[in-house]
Amino acid sequence: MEKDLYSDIAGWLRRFLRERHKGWQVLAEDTSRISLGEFLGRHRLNQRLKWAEILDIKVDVAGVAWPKSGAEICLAIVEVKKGPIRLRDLSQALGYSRVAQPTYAFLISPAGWSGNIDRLIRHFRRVDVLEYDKGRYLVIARWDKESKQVRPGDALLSNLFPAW
Amino acid sequence: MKVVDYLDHDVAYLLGLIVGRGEMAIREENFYLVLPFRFVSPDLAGLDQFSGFVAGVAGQVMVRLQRLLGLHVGFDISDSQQEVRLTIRLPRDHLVVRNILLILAGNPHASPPHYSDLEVPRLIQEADADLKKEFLRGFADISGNIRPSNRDRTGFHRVYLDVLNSNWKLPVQICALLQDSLEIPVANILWGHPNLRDPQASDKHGGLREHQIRIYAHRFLPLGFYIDHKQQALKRLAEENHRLMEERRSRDPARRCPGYSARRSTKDPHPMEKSDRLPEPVRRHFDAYWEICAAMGCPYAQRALTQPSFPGGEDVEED
Repeated sequence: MEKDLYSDIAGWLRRFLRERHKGWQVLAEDTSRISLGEFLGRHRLNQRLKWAEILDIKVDVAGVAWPKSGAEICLAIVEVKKGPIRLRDLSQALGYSRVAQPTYAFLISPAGWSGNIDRLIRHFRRVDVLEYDKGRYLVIARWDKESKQVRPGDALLSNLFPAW
Repeated sequence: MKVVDYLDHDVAYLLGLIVGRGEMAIREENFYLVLPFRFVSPDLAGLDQFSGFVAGVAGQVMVRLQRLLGLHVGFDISDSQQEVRLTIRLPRDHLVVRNILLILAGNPHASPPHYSDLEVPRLIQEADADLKKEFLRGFADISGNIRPSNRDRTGFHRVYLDVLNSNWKLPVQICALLQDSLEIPVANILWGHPNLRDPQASDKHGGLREHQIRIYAHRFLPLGFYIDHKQQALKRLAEENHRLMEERRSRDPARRCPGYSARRSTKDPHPMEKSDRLPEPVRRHFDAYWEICAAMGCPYAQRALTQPSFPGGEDVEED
């Protein structure tokens, strides 16, 4: 079940955000039953994102990092699939990403991705389809169940894995 | 002028491959980098085929390097079917070459360093954990192996990261990166020194073998290999370690090496222990692995040498 992975993925996302936003507050959790707007509202972070209250989309796991002082916010969303990621999954995750405009967006599966996704991105070099905001790309990657993480080299395009 | 070099996950991975086993040269106007991947059969059902290993190198490593370097990555298989080699050829003044030399030799126009002089670059030592991990994954993909015969005396499986004998600086540096930066415990280092590799001095000319950095399989999982063939073996044997711990109700055998062990079994003098082929700091007699660690700069081992007694642990020598 996809849901069995959510808790581990939230744990990884917290570590991911902590490493990139040192000294910031960080949280990440299973948000599959609530909307992104509710998630931000529950943690009183909706003031930091202009369109937070209209975000009635449900992503599987969401995380945020924010400074103790200052009004910034860094949103991360993760869509999780059990089987190989297909073009339909890509379209859904891209849609969410375009609407929410998170700093980081991931589409992951322990089974990796389909041949069609591989051909589209690697062979036909349609990297453009992954760009959901200026300079921001959806990261398609394999979830490593044993080590409970997404490793940069397990991304479809490792150079799109956020370094900082 | 401040010199700034470029580092991301892919570059860190490439640096790990180079420091792990890379051979660099400049001939005429070209820079050559050869990356040899030696096949070590894991002796596990379904994973003994060389073809599976070749597919792993081609599918994971080569594809990634091609994205980083363009199509300048050649691929060949040794006649012995024991090695896959990736060869990178670039114009000697290529930006990538300058970046590699700047990071590894401190000068973009330096001659490529020989394997025996390669160290963990300062850029990696000062980098974030994610980049350090990618460096180590590159290092492990090219120099690491796992198979049941790597297990310790109590049956727990271990990954070996091999460093060729000519490089005596790397083991302690890799150990520090694993333990101090990433909290991955190193069981010990079996140095390629005659006193450790041939403790009974039975081979008058031998003992100069590779150094092995040994890590318990289940503690290596947070890093893992990108070469799928090695990763599958790691997963199986890490699982076996967990099963053993459960069955025996024993505690995790992996503990951070504190820089010493209690036992220092006296080794026989070896005719090669003062060989010119050993670097000056280790051209003498040793009775324990960690004495060599101290000689090669491990601060924990150096501190231990000045202490009068050492608590529990076991010495390491050729199994």
